Amino acid sequence: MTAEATPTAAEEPTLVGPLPGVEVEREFTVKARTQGELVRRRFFRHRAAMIGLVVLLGVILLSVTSIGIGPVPGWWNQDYLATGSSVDGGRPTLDLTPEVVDGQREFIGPHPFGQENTGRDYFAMTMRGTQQSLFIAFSVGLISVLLGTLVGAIAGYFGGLLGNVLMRITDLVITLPLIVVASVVSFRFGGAGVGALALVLGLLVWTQLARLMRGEVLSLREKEFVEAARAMGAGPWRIIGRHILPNVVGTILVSGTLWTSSAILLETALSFLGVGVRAPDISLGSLISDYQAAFQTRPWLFWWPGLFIILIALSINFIGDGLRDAFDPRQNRVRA
Amino acid sequence: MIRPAGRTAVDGYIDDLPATRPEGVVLSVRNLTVGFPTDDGMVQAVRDVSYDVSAGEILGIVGESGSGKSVSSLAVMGLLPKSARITGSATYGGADLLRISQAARRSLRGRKIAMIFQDPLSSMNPVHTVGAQIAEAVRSHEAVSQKVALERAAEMLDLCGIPQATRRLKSYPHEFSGGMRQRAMIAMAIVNRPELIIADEPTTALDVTIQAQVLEKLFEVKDTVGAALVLITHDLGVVAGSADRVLVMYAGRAVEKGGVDEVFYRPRSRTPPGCSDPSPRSALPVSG
Repeated sequence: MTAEATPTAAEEPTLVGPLPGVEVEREFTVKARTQGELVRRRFFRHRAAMIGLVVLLGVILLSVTSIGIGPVPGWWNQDYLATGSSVDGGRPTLDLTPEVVDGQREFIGPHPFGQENTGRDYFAMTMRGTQQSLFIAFSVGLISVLLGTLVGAIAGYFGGLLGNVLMRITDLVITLPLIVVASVVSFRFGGAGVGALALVLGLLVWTQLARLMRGEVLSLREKEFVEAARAMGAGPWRIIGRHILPNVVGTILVSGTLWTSSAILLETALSFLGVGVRAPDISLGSLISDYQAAFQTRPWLFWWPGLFIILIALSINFIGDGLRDAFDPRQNRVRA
Repeated sequence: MIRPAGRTAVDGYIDDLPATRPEGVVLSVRNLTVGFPTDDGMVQAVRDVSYDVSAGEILGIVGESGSGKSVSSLAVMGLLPKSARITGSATYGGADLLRISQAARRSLRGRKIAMIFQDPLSSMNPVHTVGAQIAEAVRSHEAVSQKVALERAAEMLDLCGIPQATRRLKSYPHEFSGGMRQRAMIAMAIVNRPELIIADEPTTALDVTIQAQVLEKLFEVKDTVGAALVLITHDLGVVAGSADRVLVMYAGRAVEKGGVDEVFYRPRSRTPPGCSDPSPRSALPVSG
């Protein structure tokens, strides 16, 4: 017997009933769904996740289309850098109460989120800050998931000297005080922009996931189905990729979304300390930092970025929750 | 002594089996000794065990729990942890399985030597469909498309007596019953048409009526693909009724070796194998 044997025909195998001679008419009385359909269905039925998804997509759409990205212009007529004359003391012109109640026709107005003290449009600034913060959050989530999964899976599966070295490096990174190192590094390379800041944060927060992954992989690699896969002749990378990682998708997703939302808060903290995103560039954190003094006089300069931070962080957490529930194949199969 | 084929080849790629499988001894184990280092010194799990498996035959390895029957097979498969100290030889196809490289051994596993484990539920990955897992067994060794691999998987499931095999490919392990799972494991083991199947207590997790069905199917498909079978069990009735030759293990040693009739009617060992006496059933062979 050699490996060149290939099936001669792609025929449908004859269906054999449980007993010879007895024809089973219909074994399946209802249509079974594929796993992809099930995951989608469970996710779309998860109310909190759906709300989170809608809110997050809404925030992303609003921030991207309003002021545009790079050279592409958006529909909002103000620039986030242009100063202007103050309208109504810089108060927000957004008026959600209907005309019949307060007699004012105005709905959005020229500066819905108000203006800051030099007359820049605060809506445009908030949108710019949202874009930058989202970029940092997703970059940090992606970098930490990739790095943490890789390090944890290798350390857990192969163990030995390699695993020990990897975990000691992880321990070392964990001992670094996050805020201090991040502020020193981003102070040094602050001029390199949000990309550098995202990279620095990503390189600092992967450790939790790496430890989590190592633990999961350590227990999974002793499972009989991994031994069965080895007995079948599967190599280590195939076992990690096909047998172990799909079983930890939940952990990876939840951890990834958690770190994405905490990256928003981390970026806020760093920017608040003045070492994150720096002027003239804007992030939600730098907005709060820049206008903390105005909290008494112009509180909206504080509320709008705060609101967007909460919206983004909460919606990402809800989505992660829904994804985890949806990806668990041990939930009951839904039949139609 | 080669059992006559219980079933002629079904349609599909089983047809292009060579008319004759290799003759003679497939696997030859000599002086196999396995030890595990512990804080209190070396624990000898297998001591100086030798046996041969001829093409197409069924070798039953029986013995009580802890007698080393599983460990000796895992050693042959190369599935023991790295800490195990293994000496002796296991010759397969002119090569010593205990000496060849990891890569060469991996290439043999699943393709030439397949293994069936005790608990089919934990031996299957809960997140993949049964079809995907059997197809993976094919694609671990052959560069074929997923479609072709799935067609073979369906054919094998059908051969192992799973109705509506094509549709069952899309089922997950938890949707199968225990008997169906073990049939699927058998399908996975034979899908690459191995020359040797090692079944490690394949029916322990099943109830008695299903045990008989699954074993019968195992013997049937093993003949269809022309493989030899090493059947590890503590069920003497099964061995008496099906095996060609028997190896009785006790405390890591082979205490009895020979044809079924020889071992069951003229036992030489003064040490009882430990599993015949407490059994409520007679240790005498059951016909069929």
